[in-house]
Amino acid sequence: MGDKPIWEQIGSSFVQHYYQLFDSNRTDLGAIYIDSSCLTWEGQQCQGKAAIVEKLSNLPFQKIQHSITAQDHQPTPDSCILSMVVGQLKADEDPVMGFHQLFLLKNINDAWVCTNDIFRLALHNFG
Amino acid sequence: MAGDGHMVPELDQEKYDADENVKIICLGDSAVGKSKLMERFLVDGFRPQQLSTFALTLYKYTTTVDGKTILVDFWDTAGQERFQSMHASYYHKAHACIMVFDVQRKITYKNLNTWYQELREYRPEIPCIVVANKIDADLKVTQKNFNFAKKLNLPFYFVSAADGTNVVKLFTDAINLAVSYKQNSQDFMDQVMQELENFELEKKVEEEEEDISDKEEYDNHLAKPHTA
Repeated sequence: MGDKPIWEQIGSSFVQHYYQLFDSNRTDLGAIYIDSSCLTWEGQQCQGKAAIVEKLSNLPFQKIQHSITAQDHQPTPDSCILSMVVGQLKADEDPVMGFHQLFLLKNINDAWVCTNDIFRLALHNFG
Repeated sequence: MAGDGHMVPELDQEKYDADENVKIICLGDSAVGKSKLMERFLVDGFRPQQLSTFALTLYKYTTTVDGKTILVDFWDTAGQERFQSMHASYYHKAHACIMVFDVQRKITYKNLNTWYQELREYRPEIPCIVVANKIDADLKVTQKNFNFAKKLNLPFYFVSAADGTNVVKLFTDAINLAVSYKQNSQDFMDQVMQELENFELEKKVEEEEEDISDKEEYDNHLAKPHTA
């Protein structure tokens, strides 16, 4: 654990924290975004802490459970951290679906915040 | 490869042009009991096909209408609608729609408007049945007025997936409506779309003829590592 590069440690603790909040009380996720943060949710864009929290809070399910299959983290030239997550989720009683999520993390005033967040279900078109 | 349903035989929607095949889609909010209704109707020994890469569940059913064998595919979503809007191919070539709400949850009744609008965007004319599910929880709801269906002049059923009330009638009627829609399709859009599709096909055939030598080379190239 101690041998892991710092961006791996920060990235994976962020990921753990993010999904823990998402699955318990996603209205609290505002704490990790800032006013210039961008979220692209299934192709739909929103910007700013308030808009992002509204989008996530209004998703039409009561319970959600994420399970992380794999995560990768990289340092960027401007000292940010890029993280990609592949996992599965279960919303209420629906069948399990795969998803991909990408985060860009930035250190502002000694705290790590998420400036960019892109989410997609791992579904393919048909017909 | 994604985007090409022809790779998955179940999703080859060309088959819905054949006389004996009909496609019936289920719409409505999550947890209103769409899958429960399907399972109630199809009862014993039945395995739906979960196509998880598409978030779809297909239920196959064979029946006879006017002495002819009809193969029905019921399409049910597996939750994608909570994250995004439904993919257009869900509606493609559908011959009837069963739209379900939960009498215990008012919001699911309100949302019928949104579902109906989306349905009509893609399928302006197909028969649509409105279904009030979970009436077993409180039979008094059957005294209530649900004006949505009346306003739009749509058939309306009170059902219970839990105890089976009206379930067989609902599905039998849905199948009959789908078959009769198919036989006397008044849907001008359908005809236009069909013509457009044929037109494109003809064009494609010509193009393919021209490209065939390139394609063959490409295929051979691809095949090499496997044969080696």
